[in-house]
Amino acid sequence: MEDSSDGTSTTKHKFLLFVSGMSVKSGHAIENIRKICDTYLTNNYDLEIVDISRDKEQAVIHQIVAIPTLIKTHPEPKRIILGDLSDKEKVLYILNISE
Amino acid sequence: MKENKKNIAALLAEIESLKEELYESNSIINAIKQGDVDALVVSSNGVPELYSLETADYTYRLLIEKFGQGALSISRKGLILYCNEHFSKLVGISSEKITGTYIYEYFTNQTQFISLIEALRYGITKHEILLKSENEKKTFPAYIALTDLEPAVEAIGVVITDLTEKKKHEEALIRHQKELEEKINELNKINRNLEEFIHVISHDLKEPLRKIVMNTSRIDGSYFKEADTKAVNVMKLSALRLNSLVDDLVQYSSHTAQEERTEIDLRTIISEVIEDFEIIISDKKAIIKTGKVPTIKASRVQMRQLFSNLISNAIKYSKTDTTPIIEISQEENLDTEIPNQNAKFVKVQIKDNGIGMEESHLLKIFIIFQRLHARNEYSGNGIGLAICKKIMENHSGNITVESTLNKGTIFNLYFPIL
Amino acid sequence: MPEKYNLHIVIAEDDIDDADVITETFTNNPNFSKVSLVANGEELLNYLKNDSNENPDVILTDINMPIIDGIEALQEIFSNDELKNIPCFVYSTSINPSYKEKCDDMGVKAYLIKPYSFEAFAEIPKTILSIIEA
Repeated sequence: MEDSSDGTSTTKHKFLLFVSGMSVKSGHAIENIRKICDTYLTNNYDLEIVDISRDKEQAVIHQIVAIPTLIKTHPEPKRIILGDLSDKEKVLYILNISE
Repeated sequence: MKENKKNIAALLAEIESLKEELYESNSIINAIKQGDVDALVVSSNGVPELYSLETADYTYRLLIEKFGQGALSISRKGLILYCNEHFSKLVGISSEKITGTYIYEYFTNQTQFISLIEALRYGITKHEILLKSENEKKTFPAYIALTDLEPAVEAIGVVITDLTEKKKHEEALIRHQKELEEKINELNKINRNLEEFIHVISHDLKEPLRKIVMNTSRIDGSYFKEADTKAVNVMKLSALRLNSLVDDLVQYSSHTAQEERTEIDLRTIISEVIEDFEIIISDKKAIIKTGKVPTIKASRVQMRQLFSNLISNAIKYSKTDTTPIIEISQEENLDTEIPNQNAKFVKVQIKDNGIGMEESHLLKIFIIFQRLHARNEYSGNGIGLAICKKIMENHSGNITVESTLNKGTIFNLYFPIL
Repeated sequence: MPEKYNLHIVIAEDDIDDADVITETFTNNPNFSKVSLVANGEELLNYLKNDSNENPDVILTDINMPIIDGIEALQEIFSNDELKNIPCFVYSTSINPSYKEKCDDMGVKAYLIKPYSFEAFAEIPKTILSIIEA
């Protein structure tokens, strides 16, 4: 049930990006997701970056298999993308973001 | 019939959900197969471990290899397992020849190695050391930092920072400091000589002046015409003025040498000055209010002189029909007033309700002998404020003035907080 | 003016005009029966060391004098057992703090300033008398 009384929009995008230390693809993934978010979702997104080389628990909780992994938690449905997110079209398609 | 329909619907829904799961799993496997990832998370005994693929570590390794410090990986016994390009350059030997040798072979004092490893146990990881080099320098000072990588890896990480430049700068600094000290001593000597010189000269100047004054007073003027009396009077006053000028000059020049600096409570100084001026204060019925004033490190003699000049000015340049009120107090919170100053200052204000000054005059008043009024209106040689400025400069401070004609004047003293 | 004393004063003064004034001043004061004048520190010491001269009751000396100045002369006087108990006075055109300090240290009774009027000069013997009497 939509509850808008707390003021948060349910359409705000929320992402969890799992990276590892200074791995090359991790770096690219961070750059690319930032670019996409700033271009298509300006200020209307939450991006949390988890470095699992420091925070192994998060890897277990979210059942991460490989790095980098991007999880879109909101809006439903949940989506997962592996890789450095350099294929913009593919990323937009999977995350259901219109250009 | 209905049941069948429900079953079919449920099955279809389950198929949809399974399709989605399958899609997700496939995309994960494909991503791995295509090399879109550079690390795998694999559980060993329930604890996830990161398995990096080839390229993942690349950035780290490149960093270590290329950065401007020497980096090595050594065994506990000192055997070099790896060294980077920079270390090789520092010691002037190619890295292939270095790997497999012992790190202490590059120390000028080989026994230091043992103490370094010992210190590691107590958490002391950084030391200064002298290293050997095949380069022209032969030895160079360096900073060595050790990181115990156990138990993860059975090795010790070492970072070597070349301190040659830093040492050079340190030596240059020390040299400059010595030069500065010498210059300061020289300057102090010159100042002392100047002071002595001034004292001697002033004495020789005052002698004949005294005689002029004495003897002009002795002239029997009973048979004089008006013009003669006037002439003799001018002579006498001129001589007196010259005398006072000489005194002022001596005073002005006298605050050059470094007098002893002690902690001075300005309140004490101000009350001493008020005592000195007791007579003129009661004559003019002046009121002097001393608010909060700081204690500063300064020369007592000079502070006395400073406040004496400022307070006497405030009394002297008061309005004839108004009770002179002089307020002295410290002002807090200086940061907004003096932006971009590295030092912090404490500000003391001397405020009066006297005759004030025109804006155009404000810049001139600190110049020696510069007077704003005719000589017969207000006494003084015009040196008092120049002395104040000099005293503030002696203390690395400053003096400024604000004034409104017929309203009053404020002198601001800025003392650095040391 | 009460004639209480018959004091003998030796004055060391190199300036002719000042010498005139100061000797006249002391001569006019009935408490001083003898006024001897010397022109500098050397003459002062010679006078004092000369056995044919009786020791004076008071010594007044200028500071800035040629050959031997007042300070040097006083140093010798105060280190001489025969002379060190004679009350010594110094007078000068201005106060030089380091000279004043030296005089105080040696035991000079007073450091006077040469006045700017003849009337003020007449006060000098009175001042000296009051200090000696104290």
